[in-house]
Amino acid sequence: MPSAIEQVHRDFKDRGLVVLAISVRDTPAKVDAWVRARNVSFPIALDLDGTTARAYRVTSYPTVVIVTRDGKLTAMARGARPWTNERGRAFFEGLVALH
Amino acid sequence: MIAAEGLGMRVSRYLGGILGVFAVVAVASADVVELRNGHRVEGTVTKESPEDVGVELERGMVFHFKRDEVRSIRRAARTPAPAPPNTPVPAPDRAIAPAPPPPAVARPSTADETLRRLGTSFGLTLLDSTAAPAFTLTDLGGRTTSLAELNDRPVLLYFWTTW
Repeated sequence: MPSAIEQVHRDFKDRGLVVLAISVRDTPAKVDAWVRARNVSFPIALDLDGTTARAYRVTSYPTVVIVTRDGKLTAMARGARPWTNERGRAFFEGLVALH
Repeated sequence: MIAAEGLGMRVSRYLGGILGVFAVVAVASADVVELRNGHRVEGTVTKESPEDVGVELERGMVFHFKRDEVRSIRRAARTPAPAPPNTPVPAPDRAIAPAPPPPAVARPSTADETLRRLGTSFGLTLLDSTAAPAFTLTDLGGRTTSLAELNDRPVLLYFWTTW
C-alpha cells in the first residue's frame, strides 16, 4: 500500500477527509498479514466477492475514487499517483473546503 | 522617480509578507461563504466586489464565485489586520448585497468547477457527479462500514488487492 495514501490520511483526516481502503476479493487473513507488515492507520474494508468494485467500475488495481461531501462521484485515478505533491495537496484542500 | 518606484516595490513586498502571515494565522478561525446551491466554503475572504467573491484556502489556493452564486458571507472574529489604503473593510456578520433569486435548474457552482479543474491539473479522470453507489462492507475487525454512515464527509476510496 503506497505510503502516499497513508500521508493523505494523516494530513487531512482532522479536516474531515475519510480514507477508506477496500480490499477486493482477498481473504481476511491475507489482508491482515499484508496490512500488519505496513504502517497503515486508515480503515480497511473487505469486498470479498468484488460487488463493490464492480459497482464502482473498478477494472484495475489500485484505483482511487473520490466522493464529495454530498455523496457524488467527482474523480478517479487508476494506478499510483504522487498524492502528496503540490497539485495533489491542492486538490485535497479544495475537496475538504467544499461543503 | 526610479528610486521611488524601487521603494514602492519593496513596500509592496513587505505588505505582501505581512498579509501572507496573516492568512496563515487566520485559517484557525475561518470565514464561511454560503452558496445558493447549498454548498459552503470555509477559508479567508480575500475579495468581495459587486461582481465576485474570492475565498483563499490554505496554501494560497483561491476559489472565485460569481456574486449571484453567494447567499451569504459569515466572517470569523479575528484581530483586524492593517488594511491597505483605499480598501474598504467589510463589516462582520452581514449578508452581502441582494442578488437575483437562484435559478430554477441547479447548475454546477464555480466551487465544483474549481475542484474539477484541480483534479484535472493533478491528472485525475473526472467523473459525472452522479451519486456514488451505496455499499456496506465488513472491516478487518468485523465491524460494518457503509458509505451512508460517512454522510457529509469527503471520501477517498482506495480499491486494492494483494494478488
